[in-house]
Amino acid sequence: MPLSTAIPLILKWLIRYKKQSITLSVLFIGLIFFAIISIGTGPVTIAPKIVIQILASKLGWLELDDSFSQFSAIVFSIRLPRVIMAMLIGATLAVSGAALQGLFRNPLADPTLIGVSSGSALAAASIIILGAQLSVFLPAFISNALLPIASFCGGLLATWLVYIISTKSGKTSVATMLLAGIAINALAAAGIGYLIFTADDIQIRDITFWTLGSIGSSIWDTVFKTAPFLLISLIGLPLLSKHMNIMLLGESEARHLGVNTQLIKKTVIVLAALGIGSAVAVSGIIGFVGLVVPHLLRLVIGPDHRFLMPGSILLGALLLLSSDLFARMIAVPAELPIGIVTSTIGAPFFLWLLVRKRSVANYL
Amino acid sequence: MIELKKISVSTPSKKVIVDNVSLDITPGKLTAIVGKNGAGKSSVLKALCGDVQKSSGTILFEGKTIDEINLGELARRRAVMTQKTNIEFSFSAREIVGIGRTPFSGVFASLKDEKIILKCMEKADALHLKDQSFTTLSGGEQQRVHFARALAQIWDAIEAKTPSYLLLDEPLASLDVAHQHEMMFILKQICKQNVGVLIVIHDLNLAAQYADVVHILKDGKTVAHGSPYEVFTEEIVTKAFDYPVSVIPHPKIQCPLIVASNTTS
Repeated sequence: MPLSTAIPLILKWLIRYKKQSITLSVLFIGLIFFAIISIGTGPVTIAPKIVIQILASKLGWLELDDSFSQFSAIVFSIRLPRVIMAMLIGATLAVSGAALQGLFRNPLADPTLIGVSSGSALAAASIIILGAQLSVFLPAFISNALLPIASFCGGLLATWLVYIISTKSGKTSVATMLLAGIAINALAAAGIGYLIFTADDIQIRDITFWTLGSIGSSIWDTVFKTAPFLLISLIGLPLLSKHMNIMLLGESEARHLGVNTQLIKKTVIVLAALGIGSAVAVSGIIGFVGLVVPHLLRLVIGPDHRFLMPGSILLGALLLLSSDLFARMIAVPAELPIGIVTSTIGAPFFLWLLVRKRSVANYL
Repeated sequence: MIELKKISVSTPSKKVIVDNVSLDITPGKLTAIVGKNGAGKSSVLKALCGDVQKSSGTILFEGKTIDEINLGELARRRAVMTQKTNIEFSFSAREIVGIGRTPFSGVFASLKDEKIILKCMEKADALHLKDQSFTTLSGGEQQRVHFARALAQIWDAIEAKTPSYLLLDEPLASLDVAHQHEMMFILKQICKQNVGVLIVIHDLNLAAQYADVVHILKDGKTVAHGSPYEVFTEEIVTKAFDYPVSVIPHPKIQCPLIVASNTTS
């Protein structure tokens, strides 16, 4: 297409989707801004300008003298992997939440509420406790991958269970969905409780801290091991946006519009469980990101998945990045588990959603 | 042409709700299905578009078994407007109609799609609703938006006059009398563009005035099948609906007029 016809088309598109383009741009700039602040914040404060210079020098754009080598080491071995992990996990949780809400055709389907996270957590906790014994028999590369794989399977099982229990011929009963979530959460809590009962003191501390959610232990090794799984969901789910829009009309309607609904449903379940499972495996249960982020975005840019999914990635990353910053800052030198921060924001938000809709009955 | 041949549908508990029904949907003709509540009207339409499994019989879409046809290909030739669609998310009316264009468009609607969307909304008298949230519309307004969506879906075929099909399940239920006639008039118009229309309808007089072929069902079985004059007789309608009626000529239009004539009330 020649440039002279492309530019008016792009302008027209930007005017048509003005609100969406502005929101996504603002979020993108805000995310970069926050990431730089976050890298600079900690026991050793590094000015944003220096953070930018250090990053630029690593990319080979800038020569930096040796006086910055200490800052550079802090940025690279401590701050950057953590910031990347926070952004990846926040983005994945938010986009998976948005996808599940599309699948259940209801804005209340949150991974923590419907038990997907705790399903993953139970499976992962079993590996943490029993994995030590298993790893004796298994080759190293399998025992390394055991935690994310188990976590994914636990999440997949929970999602699938809630879906078949609450959905009949394409219609989801929200009451059943939430109640099934309560049951799965209770079951997972009992399972984790049993594991804690059998565990030794160090394992207990590991599990307790981990179920509260934390990304404090992120190093490059964790990033490289987890990022590929997270990225599959992060890239895969937004690609289904158009079909998920159609599915919101209803399953029969989507089929009449030529959508292979069974295939889309299965893909969404697998990708969302993969995203949530791998996030839980590395960071424990970080609740309500999947509920708060898509909902706030819908208030501003509407329910269209073509913008909601990329928006959720950006806002999810931003939310977790700022929650992590808060968790690091509030109780120096100790760190608050990040799951506590997100749940403190998320649970009242959920209540507000219920009140705003006046009664839960509207959702049934 | 879509042909239903000896279709039966049963519930999981083996209750037969559609029993051996055959009917054709011919491009250029408006076919109406009427009958009492629970006569199996909607079930016939659902079996036809694959929403319920038929227990026996075959459905041919232009000579081919309908299951063999690719979903996307089918979507470009056949639109369905179901009875009730619940949408929890606040799409604007224009976005809902836009979803009707998705079998043709890429990730985003083209300028041509945008034109068709607005044109179909205008036809369905829903253009003034375009920026309103679908969830806040009244029942009748929602039906008009859905009608516009169904029109947008087969608009290319309508314009090119290639045979296409529009199946509607009680699209008039929440509409006022003016909009009811307007929608029937539009359906009649698009029939002339080589569209086969099948409509499940409660108002016998609307069927009598606009339909080319009327199919009366009772307890899942065909009671009568033919032109309005052939099927809307006092004897057939009284039997099909278990209620006494009189059939008189319409004072102004060439069609039968059915009025209730229970003298005891």
